[in-house]
Amino acid sequence: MSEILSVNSLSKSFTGITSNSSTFKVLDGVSFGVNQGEIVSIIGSTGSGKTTLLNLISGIEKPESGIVSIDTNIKVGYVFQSNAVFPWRTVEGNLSYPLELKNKTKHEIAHSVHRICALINFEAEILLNKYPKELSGGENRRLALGMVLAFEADLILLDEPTSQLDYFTACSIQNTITRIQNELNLTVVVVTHDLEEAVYLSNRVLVLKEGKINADFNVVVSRQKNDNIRDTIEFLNIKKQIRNLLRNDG
Amino acid sequence: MGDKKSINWKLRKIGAGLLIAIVIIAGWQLIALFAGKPSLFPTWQYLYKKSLPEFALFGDYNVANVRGAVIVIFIHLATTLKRIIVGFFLGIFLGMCSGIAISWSKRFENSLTSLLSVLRYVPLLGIIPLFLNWFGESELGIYLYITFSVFVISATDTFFAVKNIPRLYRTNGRLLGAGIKSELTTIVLPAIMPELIADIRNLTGLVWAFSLGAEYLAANRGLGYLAYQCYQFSDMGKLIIIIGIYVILATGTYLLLSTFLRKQTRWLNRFN
Repeated sequence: MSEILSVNSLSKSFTGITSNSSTFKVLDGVSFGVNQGEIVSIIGSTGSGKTTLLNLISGIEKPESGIVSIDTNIKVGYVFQSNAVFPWRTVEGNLSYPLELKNKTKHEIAHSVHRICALINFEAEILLNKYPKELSGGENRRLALGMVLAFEADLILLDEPTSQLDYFTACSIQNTITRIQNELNLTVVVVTHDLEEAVYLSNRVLVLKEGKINADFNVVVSRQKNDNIRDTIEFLNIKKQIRNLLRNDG
Repeated sequence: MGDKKSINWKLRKIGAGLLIAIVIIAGWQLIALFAGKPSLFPTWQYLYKKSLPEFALFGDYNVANVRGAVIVIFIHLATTLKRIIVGFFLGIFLGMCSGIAISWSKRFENSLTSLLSVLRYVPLLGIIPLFLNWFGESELGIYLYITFSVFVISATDTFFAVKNIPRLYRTNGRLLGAGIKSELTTIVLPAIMPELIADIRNLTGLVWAFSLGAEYLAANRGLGYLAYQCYQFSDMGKLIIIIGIYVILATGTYLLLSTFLRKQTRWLNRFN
């Protein structure tokens, strides 16, 4: 497997808005690589710099030092924690947005939109004409994921994909993510503070603590994931190991 | 069921409006009768039989008559409408372009935001004499004044509307492949639409006041000119008729634009 994303010695600091605020180094020499077809989760507590890391990888923010290397022919898609779907467009309008920008024909757009609806578990006949305000929180997350799929991203960055969703909706979205990743052989980087989500989704879990990658776990549970593996001993053991690392005294 | 409810609600709304209008008309009539000075507080009969026909005398008619009056009012109304349409659309267009341009570039924003803020607080009716002195009593001055007044409000409102767009939408658009042109047409314009619509609704009312102000002082045609002539001769009856015409026209344009613009913001939360 070839490495398609490489992060080397990435650092980023923030200064408070008041004149006497001190500088806070949120990322301090973060390095890791991601291979094609992998799902890598980065787990850390609130404020540990997870979202900043994704912003740096996507190019939204510039690092203070360090390098993010992504293969030139790789398209990066970013699903934000807060829904960034366009409220003035219908579901169909949102899903077709990246396709319109590529000047695809109406026929191609309609075909792609229906294919994506099937991937994200959307009933096209019911949902395509609805506006985001008419969708549930879970449906909006799926829609945001669908936009990135319409963009034909090869590397997908997911920021807290199931935060603020109930447990069962979260599980359903996690299953959708793993299914899509398997079907399309996508590379996915997820940041989350949810231990179970990190272990369930990923091949590898990186622990981000005090601005550094503290540990790199290989998750050796079955790749054919279903909800039953959440209760297996090996799954619970990995969760326990990561939890211990995340604890302040761990 | 839902349709029936909606029709009932609309009928009730219209009924309430009519009731209020009847109360105002009856109340006015009572006060006018009680005051007993039709030149200051005219009754409805006085307005129809005396004030309205006399508008004919502002035209080529030697005798006051309703038909002539209506023709004269329409001729002046056409002049006012022409000024309003040109000033309104030109002002909105220039204001929107400037507001977007200023908010788009950091350099423009740093240098022009304070100018825009200062302009916003200029008393627009108070600067009519300036335009009067700069351009004389010319059509150009009136057009420029209306355009400028609409421009100032439109530019500042557009500027702040663009600044209020959540950054996430624009970032997401760029990440999904939008260039500058696409970002403008597919994200910025739809995102500011609710604020633009509020701005346009507001301006549909204000532009009548701007035209009235400009014509009042500097024109020899238009509804504002008629209003000034009536004021000169303390003719309250004709003034009231002109005010009524302004109210009907401003409300009409507001309702017309609202109906059209409402369709552009179906995606917004509506609770009614």
